[in-house]
Parts: sequence; structure tokens; C-alpha cells
Amino acid sequence: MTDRIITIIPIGEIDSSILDFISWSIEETFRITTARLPNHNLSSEIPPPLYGNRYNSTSILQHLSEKISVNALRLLAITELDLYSPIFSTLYGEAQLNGKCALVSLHRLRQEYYNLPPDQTIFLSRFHKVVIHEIAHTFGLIHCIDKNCIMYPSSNVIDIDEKSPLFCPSCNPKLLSNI
Amino acid sequence: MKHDINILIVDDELIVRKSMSNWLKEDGYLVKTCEDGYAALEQIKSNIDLAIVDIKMPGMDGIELLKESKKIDPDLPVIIMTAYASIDTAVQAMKEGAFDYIVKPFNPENVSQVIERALKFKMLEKENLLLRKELEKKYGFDEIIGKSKKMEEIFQLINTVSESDATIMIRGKSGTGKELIARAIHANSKRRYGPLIAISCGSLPETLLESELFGYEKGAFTGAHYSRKGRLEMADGGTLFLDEIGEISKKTQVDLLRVLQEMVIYRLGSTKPIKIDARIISATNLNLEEAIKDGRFREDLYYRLNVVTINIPPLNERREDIPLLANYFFQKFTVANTKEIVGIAGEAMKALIDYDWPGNVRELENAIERAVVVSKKKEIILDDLPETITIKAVKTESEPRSLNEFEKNRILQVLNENDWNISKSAKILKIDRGTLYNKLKKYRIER
Ligand SMILES: [Zn+2]
Ligand SMILES: [Zn+2]
Repeated sequence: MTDRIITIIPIGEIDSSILDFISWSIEETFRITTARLPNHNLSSEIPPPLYGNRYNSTSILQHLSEKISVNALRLLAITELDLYSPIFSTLYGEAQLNGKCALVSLHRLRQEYYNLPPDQTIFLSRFHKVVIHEIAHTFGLIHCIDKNCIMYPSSNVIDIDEKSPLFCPSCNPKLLSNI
Repeated sequence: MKHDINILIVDDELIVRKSMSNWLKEDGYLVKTCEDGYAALEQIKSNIDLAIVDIKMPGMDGIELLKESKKIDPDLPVIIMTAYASIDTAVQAMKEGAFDYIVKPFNPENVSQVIERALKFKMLEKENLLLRKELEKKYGFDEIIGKSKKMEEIFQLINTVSESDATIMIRGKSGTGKELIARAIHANSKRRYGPLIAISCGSLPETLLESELFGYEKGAFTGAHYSRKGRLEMADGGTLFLDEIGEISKKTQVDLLRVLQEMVIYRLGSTKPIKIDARIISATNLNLEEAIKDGRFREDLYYRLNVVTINIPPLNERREDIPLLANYFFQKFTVANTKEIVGIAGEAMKALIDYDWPGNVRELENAIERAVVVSKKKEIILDDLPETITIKAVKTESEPRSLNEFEKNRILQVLNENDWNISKSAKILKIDRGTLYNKLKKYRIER
């Protein structure tokens, strides 16, 4: 039995106000309740970091989907770790298309990372967009050509900042019929 | 469209196959994966548009696979994946005819570009194929069927106007297939890869129609919880089909005229101009010239919309097309129903040809669909057709119609002409809805 819940699992220490924010964001967007697991430590279970402390995102996702059993519809992992994938040198998040798990890194979403003064609003807006985008992938949505749509693929934070936090008129009905 | 593009990934590492295929699927491609060159060659024999191949694999390596693949499908673009260490071999791969090479780990933007270029190369062939198919259909645009002189003139006109961006107005009675004509024009125009956005102006109240057409910004009115594109904006790069244009209010007429003059829109609640590039096709079953005289329709808008007119004749003015159409629909519905009926009997066909078809092609389509469903014989016979059609057939041989019969036929005719809209029909018949319902019951009239 799976419950209609999206379970959030923090990987390492994550500020609880950030987790509260994203729970609310997810519930507002998908109309699905969220739950939270205690912090999870991965270090011993996944390949060691590469490229100066970046972790393999696909391995983490695989580990999560095989080792963590929860009765949830979806599992969202959030981490401060910097990520890479077997094919990409950096990424903000990764999801299993039509699958159960999604992973999002906060590492490159803050203004401070780019040597700019901190801005919580900008940070949370990026965080919202990346999380909703990745979870939508698990519900089968693919990338959209509409630059304003949240499903537009972003390869840097400027792309993320430019798109809207919403689904366009062609993605929205697909989402509604898939959830 | 990406959803019919097949990409093959060949890599001995499971995690690379997984990660790569997930990423390409997120972009909307269909993905197949193989762990070695031998399996890959089997796949290449089927329908593959692009192969992305790791250069270092045990057994058959990437370069060998590339050479072998050229023997099976010389046009298949192959992209080689390599690590920094093996760039020399990547260069060798290019000499062997690889389309390009990408270095792991990738920069996503970069890889997307390489893939798109490779596919464009492949796509040119597919496009040629499409063009050929369209030429074959030249004298039968999908469901628009006819060999009468009037229809051949229309096909000619569609061909001519499709190529230009001229604004077109399609005139014709209800059920003559105005939307099909609009679709044919779009499908044959250079905008065919853009969207075709249709909106039925008659079915929406003024305020809703305006927000549908122009879109709105968050907070433009109560209930506008987020911004939304309008149909005009959505049709950018394509065609906008405005059906029942004669029904729009005077205010919307003014707004629409301004858009057509400037090709710029403002979403409701916004002062930001948005440029649009859309071809406008409109349609109506009303007499707009009369509406202009009565002051219900703006003359300037009429001239904007009516650069080219396509008049679709009612079915009873091209009776020679009825057998062709009837047989076409017959085939369409027997396939859908998997019934073993072989054709339409002579007397039934004669009734079809003689009938007046106030509901035009749509009424004919409905009649044939119903006949296929109720038919119990090898052929469709007179009894399988709706009574309205057969009454007329009998009439030609028997006594003049009674007053009741006349009334029944008149009601049916009005209903058909107005898409079975009861209120509208009652108004035209100058009776109230209740009376109309009673008469439907009395004459056992059903849709
Ligand atoms: Zn994505
Ligand atoms: Zn979208």
C-alpha cells in the first residue's frame, strides 16, 4: 500500500524553516500532503565524491529508491551537497522520470555561492522552482519549450530566475491528469 | 516533435545508460539502450534516428560499431562519447564518419545542441517524406471530400491561399465542414509546424471570450490567481481559427480590430504590449452583410477578416458528391464498428441523394453512423436511415404530406440547422421551449 503522501528526506543537516517552506510549496502545487523523515547520512553508502567534493546524483537516487522503503507516493531528498551525474559535471537536481524519487541540491541556489549578498527570497524562489520541476518529472512531465514554464530546462541560475514558478497552459492539464 | 524520435544509447556502464536515458526522456525523446556493440547493431536494424555511442567498450568498441552501423544505415548520425583521456581516438572516430563527439562529463547545453544538429540532419529526410504524402492528398484534404466542380474550385483555392499569410473568411451553413477547411489550410501552409488554435466565439459570454482571446495577468479580475496566455498569444507562429465570428459583441469587435491592425495584444490587466505573429482564419454561417446593415457587425472588421473568402456550398448544391461522401463515412464507421456490412443499397443511396440535408455534411455523417449501428443486413437499407430522410423518399411516390408531417419536418430542419440547440430553435419557430419539447415527444423526434 502506498499512501498519497510526498515524503521529504533531508540528506545531512538542513535548516528546518527551509523544509517547512518546501512542504508548503509542494502541498499548494500538487495538493498532496507531505511528511518528513529524520536526517539521513549517506557518506558510507555511495561512491566517494569527485571533482572537488561533488557527489554522484544518479547513485544517490538509486540508493534512495532501493534502500529507503516508505509507504509514500514520492520521495524527495534534499541536500546541501554539491552534485554531479555520470554525464553532467554539475546539476541542481535529478528525478526519475515516471519514477518515485527526486533529489535536489541547495548548494548552487544561494546568491552567496556566486559571491553576491544573501537574498532569501531569490533563494527560496529558485528552490521552489527546482523542486516542483523535479517532482513534476516523477509525474511524467517532460521539458517544455515555453521559456516561462516551470518545465523549461534550466542549465544555470539565470534560466531558473527567468522562468515563472507555474506550469504553462499546455503542461498544467498534463500534470492534473497525471497526479 | 520529439516524441517520435528514437535515440539509441550504447555504453557498457549501467549508470551512464540510466542517467543519459533519463535525461533524454525528460527532453521528450524515446530512448533505447544497449550495453554492447552487438546488441546495438540489432537495434540499428529497426527504427533508430540517432545513436550515441561510448568509445571505450569491451568487445566491439565504439569505432568498430560506428563502421558496422554504416553498413546497415549509412544515414544514421552517430555521436561518440569520450573521456578527456581518449580525445585522440575521438578525432579518429570523426574521420570514420561520426557526426560529432562529446566529452564526459557533459555541459548539458552543449550536448543538447549537438543532438539537435544531428537530428535536423536526419529530419530533412523525414520532411521530404511528409511533403510527398501531402502531395498525394492534394485533391482530398483528409475529410474534405468531393469531386464536384464547386469542391474542386475550393481545393484549388486552399492550395493557393495556403502559401500566403492572407486572412481568410470561410462562409458556409452549419455542418458544411468549415473547421476542416481551416485545418487543411493550416496543414498546407508554411506555418504547419506551428500551432493551430481554434476558438468558438459563439459559445462564450463577452468577458470570458476576451480573457480567452487576450489572456490575463494575475489579479486582473477576481479568480485570476495566475497569469495566463490567451489564444492569440498561443497561436504565435501558427494559425488562429475564430469560429462563429458573427456572434462576437461590439466591444470585442473593437478590440479584435485593433489587434488585427497592429498585431500586438495586451493581456487583461496589463499595459505591456506583446507582439504576435498569427494567421487569422475566421468562419461564420451568418449573413454578415446583413449584420453590417443592421449595425450588429463592424464594417472595418469585416474587411480586415475577409481578405479571401471561401464559400462552402451546402450539400444540396453538390448532390453529385453525396455517394462519395456516404461511402467514405460508411467505410469510416464500419471499420470503427467492425461490422460485416458490404455497402449501401441502391434505394437507400437514392434517398440520400434526394434528401435536402439541412444539417449538411455533418447530418450525412451522423445518418451513416447511425445506419451502420442499427443495420442488421449485408447492406444498409432504407429502413436503417433516419425517418426524416425516408419520409421524403416515400413522399415522392405517395400522397401529399399532411400538416403534421410538414410541422415535424420543419422542426427537424430547424433543429439540424441550429445544432439541436433547443432555445435557439424554439425562438426561430416562434414557440416556447416547453411547446417545442411537447412536439418532440409527440412526433418522437430524437437526435
Ligand atoms: Zn528537467
Ligand atoms: Zn510547459
